[in-house]
Amino acid sequence: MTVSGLFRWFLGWVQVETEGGYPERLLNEVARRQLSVWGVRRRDEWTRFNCLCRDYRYLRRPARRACVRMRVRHKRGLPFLLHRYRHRKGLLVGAALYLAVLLLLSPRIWVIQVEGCTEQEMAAVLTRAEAVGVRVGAPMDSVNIKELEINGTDDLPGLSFMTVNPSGCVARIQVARRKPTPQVLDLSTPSNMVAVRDGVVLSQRVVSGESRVMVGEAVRAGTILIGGCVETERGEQRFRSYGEVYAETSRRITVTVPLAYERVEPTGTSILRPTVTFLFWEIPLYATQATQEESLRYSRRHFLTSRGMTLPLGITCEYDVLLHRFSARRSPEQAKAMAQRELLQRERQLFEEGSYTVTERQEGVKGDAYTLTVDYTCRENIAVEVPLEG
Amino acid sequence: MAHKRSLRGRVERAMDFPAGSLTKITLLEMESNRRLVIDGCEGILAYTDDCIRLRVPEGELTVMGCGLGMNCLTAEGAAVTGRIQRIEFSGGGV
Repeated sequence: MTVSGLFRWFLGWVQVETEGGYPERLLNEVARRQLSVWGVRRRDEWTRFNCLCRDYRYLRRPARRACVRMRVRHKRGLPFLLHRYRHRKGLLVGAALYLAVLLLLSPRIWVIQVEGCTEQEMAAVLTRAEAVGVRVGAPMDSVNIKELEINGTDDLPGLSFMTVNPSGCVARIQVARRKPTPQVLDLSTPSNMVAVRDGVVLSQRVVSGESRVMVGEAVRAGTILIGGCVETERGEQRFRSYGEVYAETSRRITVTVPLAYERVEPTGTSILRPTVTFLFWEIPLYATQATQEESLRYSRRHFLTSRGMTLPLGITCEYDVLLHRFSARRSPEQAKAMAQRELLQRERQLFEEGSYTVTERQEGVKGDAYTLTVDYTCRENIAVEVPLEG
Repeated sequence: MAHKRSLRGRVERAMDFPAGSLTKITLLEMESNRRLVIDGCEGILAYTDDCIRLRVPEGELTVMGCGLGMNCLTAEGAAVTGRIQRIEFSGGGV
């Protein structure tokens, strides 16, 4: 549709068909009166042309003079459309409501997206953004983006920059992570490196300070391995000692799993508490209070999504699964399997660095518990830094 | 009137004004053989789908062709569309 066509559609136009008489005379009169006429077609007996509906009444008299019979063939445009639906008040109300909703809701934030941070940082980022006006239902214009950019990451050491990119009703919070700065060894504070546990020194690498032990020497916990206080020709000098001393050490892990225990199981009864979320309203669809009994609570969110965005319309179902406790007893085999799992976990924690070999393993039921004891010979760095006093 | 027009025509030529700026003449603008815009049309004399006769200051303008129609009609001009085969001026003259 051309611009003039759109203009005519808004004003409304009719296609007029004339028959007999002198249509040329009618057209001349129309042109003389400066009425807008277009699309004139003549075929045999009839002549058709289009004119604006407001001009149609001015054609009657010239048509009589030109002795032509005139009838409206088509009616097009907005006035006729509105006239057709004039009795349907609901449409008018709906259109008015639509316009009102569009005007009221379109300049507000309805979806908040966070990009560039972890799940753990998400809550802190959202709190910061909320402080500058980024919240569901808030006007997009009221967001103080500059404030967020300048002070947004003040107490968030993992992040370097934060901003909000408004896009329609979506506020996209863009977060940039901070790149870790390389650790610089501070050599100004004098210190010793001492043994953290008993062992036999296997190897050592001294970066700063003076070695105080020899390979093959047995050391006790607390022995200075690398000294930061060195006697030189110019007298005593203090350094920050730094290095690694690997030693053969002994370790023991004991895992005890009781055979009698208290077990918690769901009773099979759960209480559902649904809440409908629409824009910033949360409408609870339940009347029950939170249960006082022991229960496991979890929730499921069912929200409308569009192109990866969660829209502010959905239902959150919160379930309270009732639990009951009872005394139970596990078999020694079950206890052994549990102890093995626990041992593996503790081995992973203890021996993150270095290597180890199992020297002795004792296991069995003692009293009312299954006990697993394992002795290890380890090769590990036993040197830890202790600041020099005085 | 003829003397007046003639005088205007002479002034127009002397001042190098575009043709039609002072005098009343017909300006035709043609887009291939599909559309003819006539500026200065004073009325329709006859109108059929193969011949349209228009009154112009110079006399009579006849447009002949097939499936002729008038896309726009105002007091000052008209636009003839269709397959135009011949344009003819007859009668009168400036």
